Amino acid sequence: MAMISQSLSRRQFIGRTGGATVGSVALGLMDAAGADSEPTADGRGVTAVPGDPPAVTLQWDEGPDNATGLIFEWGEDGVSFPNVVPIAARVTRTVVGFPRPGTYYGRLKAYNEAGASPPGKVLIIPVKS
Amino acid sequence: MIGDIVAVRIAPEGWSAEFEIEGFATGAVYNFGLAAGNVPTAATPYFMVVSEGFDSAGRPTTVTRKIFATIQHRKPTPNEDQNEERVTNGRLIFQAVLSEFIYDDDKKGGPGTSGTDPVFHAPAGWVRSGSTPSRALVAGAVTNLSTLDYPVPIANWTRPDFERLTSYSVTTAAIGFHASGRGGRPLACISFTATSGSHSTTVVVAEPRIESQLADAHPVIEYVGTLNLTGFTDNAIVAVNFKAYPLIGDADCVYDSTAGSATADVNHFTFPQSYLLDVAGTRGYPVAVVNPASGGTAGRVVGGDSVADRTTAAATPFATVAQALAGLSSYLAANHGRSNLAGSTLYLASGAHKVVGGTQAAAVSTAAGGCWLTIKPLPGVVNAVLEPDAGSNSKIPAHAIKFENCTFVRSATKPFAEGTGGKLLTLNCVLRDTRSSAGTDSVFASPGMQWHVRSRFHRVQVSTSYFRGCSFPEGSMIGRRCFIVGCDWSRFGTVSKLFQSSTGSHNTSDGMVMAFNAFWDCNAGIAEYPGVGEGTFLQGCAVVQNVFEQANGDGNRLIRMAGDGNNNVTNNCVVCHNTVVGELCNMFYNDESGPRHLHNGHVMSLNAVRSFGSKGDTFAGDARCTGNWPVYHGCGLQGNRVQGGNFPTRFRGIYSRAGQGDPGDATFLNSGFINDASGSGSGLGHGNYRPAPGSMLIAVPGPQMLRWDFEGLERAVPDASGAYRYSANSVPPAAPTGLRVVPNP
Repeated sequence: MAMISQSLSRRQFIGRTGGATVGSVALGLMDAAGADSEPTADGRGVTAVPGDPPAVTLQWDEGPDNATGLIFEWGEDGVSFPNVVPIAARVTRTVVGFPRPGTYYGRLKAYNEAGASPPGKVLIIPVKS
Repeated sequence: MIGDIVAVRIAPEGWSAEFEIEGFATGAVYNFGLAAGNVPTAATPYFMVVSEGFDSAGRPTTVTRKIFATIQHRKPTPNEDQNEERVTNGRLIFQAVLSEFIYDDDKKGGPGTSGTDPVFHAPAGWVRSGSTPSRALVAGAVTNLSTLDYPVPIANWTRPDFERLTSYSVTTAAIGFHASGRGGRPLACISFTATSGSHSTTVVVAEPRIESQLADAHPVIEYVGTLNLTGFTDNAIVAVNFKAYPLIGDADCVYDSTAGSATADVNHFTFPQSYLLDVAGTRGYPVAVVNPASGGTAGRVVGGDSVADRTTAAATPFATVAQALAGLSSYLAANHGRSNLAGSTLYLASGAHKVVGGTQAAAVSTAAGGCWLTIKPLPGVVNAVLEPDAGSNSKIPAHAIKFENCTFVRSATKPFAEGTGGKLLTLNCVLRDTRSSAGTDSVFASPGMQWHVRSRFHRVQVSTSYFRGCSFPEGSMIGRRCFIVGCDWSRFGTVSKLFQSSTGSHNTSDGMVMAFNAFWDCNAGIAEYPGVGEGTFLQGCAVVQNVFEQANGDGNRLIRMAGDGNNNVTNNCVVCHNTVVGELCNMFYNDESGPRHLHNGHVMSLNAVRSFGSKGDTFAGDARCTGNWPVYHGCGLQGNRVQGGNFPTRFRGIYSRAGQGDPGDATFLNSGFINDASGSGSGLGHGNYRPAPGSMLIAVPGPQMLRWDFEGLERAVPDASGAYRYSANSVPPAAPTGLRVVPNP
């Protein structure tokens, strides 16, 4: 759990997606306006609206049964992934906001009380306006 | 007929049986039908045994056990290569070991016995004489010659007493372990009884539980009882006792803490509890405040403990603890006809306080008053510090003194206080030695009976105490073994021993309870041993669900229980669900010479250990050194996982696996911990000894006596050997796959 907290403290920008509660630690997310946002009922997160930063919908296969949560990490160089988006376990789709159009790189991890998985394969994410 | 099993007798020590087979010769071949991992199969001969026992209400019942025959006896050295056999009247007579003990009352023997004789079942051919197989036997008659009594539970309180009761109710708790613990229950039940004058009430608690809100360093599984005292006379002492009923046993082996009971002296660390029932407050419960900055000799004592009372007292504080104690005593003498300090509360304002005593308080009564004198900071005060009084005689001027939420700091070889042989309790305190090297002096001197509950110790050495839920982030020696549950200890500096040795011929560990603790990074590089117990155990002991880690192996034992030496005797030791990594476990033996010293009546089950050594006759070169043969032949050993080590037992116990040698040897087994940071692994200390997937610790059958693991998580049935359960959640998950971009909704 300590490792997860460290990752979250490095968060620089988190797009519009769902919040999650992991164990006893609430991982409330901040949207672009700085307010906590709630996940939609289907777990996909908040739908983008005109004027918002560009957003991309990501999907993945259902995660492992023993995960208590997921983490989507992204960055701009494919080497470092300083931005962290916590996602509830068993969610398979989310919408991630990015600061501007461009090419980004993202990957997923799962975690539970014993620690985090190694990161999955890096996805190249073209983000258009 | 040749091959018939014509006689079966349980041997007097209760751990083996003797058989007679018609027409067989010596030199027989034995096959006990055990599969890999010593798992009994349909080809394993077994006994059905009916024992006396208790149900969850403490009522007598019977318990039926299936006990396997596991291995044939051998002869003592120098003939250890030969089986113990003889032919008499044309019958082969030999002995085989039992997987569990059979007791003297497991028979049809009239009142005081189970009422049913054991019977023996054997497949054909488990013994062969030449090409002739023994004949099958179904429910064959067994003569039980065992003289082994049912053992008495090892039990004790898990919470201190001596509180004032302000309502007609008292809640207390106890713990107990027994060789018959199984099915998630260490005992059948515990009954608590409160007595005062002609009043008495009893409650029976069948299921132990964890009260996680108590925030022990590690969860404590305990029997919690609440007694309704309605109708009891107020302003009186209430005695509380408990009885621990084993799952298997009879009335003679129910542990009863009541003074003078038949079993009261079995656990010499266990005493009756005492409470003061004073709902009306007749005896007076004054408070005083000590403020070293603004106080004086003429502080004010106030007769209550409301916010307003404390405010009033704080407005006219005493300057020192000693002055306040004297003031409280004088107040009680003037207003309530007593001068003892029981029930008084001394509040500490900010600042440094000399902890107690001094000549100023020398005249204060130390008579017993029925409950604690309490010293604690004023509400909201976080920087009150208690320091040793180097200039005083340091007597604790109360029969029973409780420090609550206090911080003790010292920088010199000086105890915080010297007791008067009464009682001492630290509750949620911090005790710190600021010196860089661990002191060898104790934190309190001669305190009498000493309880520490959820207190934290840095570097200070603590003398023999009752510990519950404490943490030792900078651990020093913590006295002789007595009672320690739910604690977490990490070595600081060069601690030569975790526990202090017994003195003389008396084993001060006898009767101890050590459960639900972690001892990390023990003894790194020091040629000593922390030890669990040593010497003779006649009362027995309980060492249950602990983690012992030694980071740097040095060839010495990490734990030793009546190992080595030449004169130890043990009985009734319960060693279950422990994880012992990095160094050796020397268990139950005499390695030097005779005469024979018996190690019997134990249970060692579901442990995950680095080694399990028990030397005997072949090591000593002395045919009399067979006293450890019940252990050496695996009676009472079940579901253990042993990585390696030397001097292995001849039979490892059913459902058990064991390697040999040292890390790096081909015969040394990898337990499959998530992170082995012990001396067998990285050596860094503070490892993660939960079983990883594929670990040899997973899903081991055995008499699982605890429902929860070391972290308070519910165990499966069967579950893992060692202190930790196995859970898929105990390893990190795999990363999700198939991450892709899809059209926005």
